[in-house]
Amino acid sequence: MKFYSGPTPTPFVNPDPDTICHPHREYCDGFYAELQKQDELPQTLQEGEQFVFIGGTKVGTQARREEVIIPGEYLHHCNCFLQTLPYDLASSRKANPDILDWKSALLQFMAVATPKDHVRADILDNYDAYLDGLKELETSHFASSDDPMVFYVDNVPDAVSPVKAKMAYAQVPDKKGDSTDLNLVWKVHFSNFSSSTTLLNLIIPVRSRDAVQLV
Amino acid sequence: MQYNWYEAAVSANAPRRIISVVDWASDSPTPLPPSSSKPATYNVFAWGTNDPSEGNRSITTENFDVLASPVGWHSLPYANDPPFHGVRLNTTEFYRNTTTTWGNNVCDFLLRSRNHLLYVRCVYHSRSLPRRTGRLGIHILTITARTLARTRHLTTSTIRNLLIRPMHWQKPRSISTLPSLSSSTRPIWSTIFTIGAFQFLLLNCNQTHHPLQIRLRRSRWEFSTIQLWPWRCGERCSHCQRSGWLLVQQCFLHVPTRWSERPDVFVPINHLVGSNDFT
Repeated sequence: MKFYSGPTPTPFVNPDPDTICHPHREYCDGFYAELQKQDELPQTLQEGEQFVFIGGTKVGTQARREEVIIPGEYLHHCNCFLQTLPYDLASSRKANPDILDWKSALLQFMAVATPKDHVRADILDNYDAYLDGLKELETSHFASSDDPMVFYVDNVPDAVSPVKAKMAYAQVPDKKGDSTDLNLVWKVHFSNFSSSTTLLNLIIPVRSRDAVQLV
Repeated sequence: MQYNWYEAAVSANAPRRIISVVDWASDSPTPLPPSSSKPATYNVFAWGTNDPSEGNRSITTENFDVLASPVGWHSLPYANDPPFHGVRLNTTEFYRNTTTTWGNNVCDFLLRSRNHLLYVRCVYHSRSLPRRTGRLGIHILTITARTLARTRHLTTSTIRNLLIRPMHWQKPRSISTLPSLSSSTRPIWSTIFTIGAFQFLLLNCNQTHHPLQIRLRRSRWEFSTIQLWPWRCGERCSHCQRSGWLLVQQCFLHVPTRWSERPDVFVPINHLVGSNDFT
């Protein structure tokens, strides 16, 4: 991949999604197609041979289902579940076309990232309520006006601490794969400072005999 | 999301695709398909039950860490199983599954230092122990970090009630010659039992309210220690109404080796379950 060397993009305008590459979506689509193909194989194999070669190994049909398809479906569920959510939300009334709307970007990421199914369902069911619940924490700093604007968001569902957010450019490959484009993104950083502090506190007493009793 | 440390970039305009995600949590496990095998169960005193008078045993399932024990607590490769060294196997299975704690590494969190400490909680009950005919009940609970944290402040001065002698010792040394015994803790009875390749010499003393500790020495460089806590000294067990019954729960002693070509030795110490041969 080459570094972007084109002209400065027009402010607050993103390239057309059809012109840039979507590696995750392409991976998931290809993965799903391969899984479907593998799942359909047993019907064709029952008439003739009962084995299929995968990766040079002779695998029976039932064994292939247990060793390939079931783990594959689980991997697909882990990695590709809700991969169409951005497009579904974009086509529904929930999507705010405003490029400065950080709330939609953050909440959508939380819906995909949370490991708790009930939290995810709750976010999608009460999308507007959660959207209104996201609050920007008031912070004052002495950063100059040239520095990127960074702010913290509180009341993020399933986050353990306020989330740092800022706008940035991300380099994305185009469809041809020979050049890159700049995509305006919201970068969100879930800095678990509370957890890291706790870990440090636990580590230090190990080295100090007196402090061990405090554990 | 308390186990994740995400740094993500989400496209600013709709459709807001997730363009990149980094999870800075280094120990976040790779998702694996849920295992279809049934977890092992133990009939044990659950944590929170201090002694048999407070509650009964309950069925507890094994709760192994998928990173530390990916195949559970009851499976280990034949290649790493000491009894199978040099033995021609009749099976092509890679793992050996057991219904005992052989292979169990619940105790395998020994401190990685020269003196490996292994803390085990022990219940000890007896009444009016006659000289040399004492009875003992030991109740070794599964070790957790909580126990470790509670007992770390104990010093080595408590090592005076229990001692271990290797099997090649023909008879116990005289008490007075044992260096970790002080003259104020003169034993009133003693007994010996065998655990794996070791014989444990249990010495009771008047100060039975002190924690008991076993120091296990395999060779010149290897140490492991078991911490034993006396429980209600001078009373019978109100649960079983017996004073000579040995209650040893699932536990496993990991004896690390150094300077040796042999792999680590795992000594199951629940060989003593049900034994009351201590008179």
